Amino acid sequence: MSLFAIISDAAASASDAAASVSPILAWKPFLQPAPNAQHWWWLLLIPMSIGVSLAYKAIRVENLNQLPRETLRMAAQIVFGMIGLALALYVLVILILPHLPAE
Amino acid sequence: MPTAKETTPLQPVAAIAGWVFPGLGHIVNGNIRRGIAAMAGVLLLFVTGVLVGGVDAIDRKEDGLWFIGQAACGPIAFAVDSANTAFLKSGSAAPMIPLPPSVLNPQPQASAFKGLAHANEFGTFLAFLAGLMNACVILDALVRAPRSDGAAGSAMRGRRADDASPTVSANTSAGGAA
Repeated sequence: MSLFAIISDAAASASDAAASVSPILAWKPFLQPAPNAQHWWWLLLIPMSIGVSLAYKAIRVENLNQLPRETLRMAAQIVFGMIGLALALYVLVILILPHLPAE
Repeated sequence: MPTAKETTPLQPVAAIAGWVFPGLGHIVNGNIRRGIAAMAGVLLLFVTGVLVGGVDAIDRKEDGLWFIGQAACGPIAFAVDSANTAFLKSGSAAPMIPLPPSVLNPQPQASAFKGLAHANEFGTFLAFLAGLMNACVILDALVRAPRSDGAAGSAMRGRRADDASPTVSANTSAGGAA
């Protein structure tokens, strides 16, 4: 499976999740798990990176006026680091490992 | 005149307040902006976790090891665990579904709102991450000098002054003298 196919599948599953409106209408927030989380779980990387960055930088920056910029910078580092790890693992598992001898 | 090596006493009241509610330790110590920022970060993680996984994301009995980290968020973690018991495990929020019997439990049941798979995993993980970050915030509140943010927000007096650069330390000392 090519990288383009994986991205296409992800986009298609995201649009499927957006199209399935009825589970969202019946959803009881905070009481019931979010619907269709298996389709968009990877989006949780964004609030996770922002939350970790904001809490960490709040106690680390010397000048609080730099907090928004430092938070966004660290969040971007986390997100792009994760994307880089994903690409590296894709190359290793999908492209390199299948070409190695079985024994 | 304060120096870069000067230390301040530990702030146990601030640490306890930081456990009672995320960021409250800094606020009661006068570092209000820093406390609000830390509170926003920890609560963003915690609320996102409970929003994604529901109240079942925090379960003291079934996910005991995860709860050790989540408990660092303070009473809000215990409150969500109590809500899980009161609304989900009692069957008041959704009907109980019978599960296959086991040796230990011949008639197991679970709420129809019980979190499964990705929703439960990420909800539990985000709440756990909120607890870990709040533990860092609590430790910072314990060692940070009261009202150390200053007008410019850069006055790193006291114990944390070791982290500051010589330039910042010199400015701090000058500001303290002024």
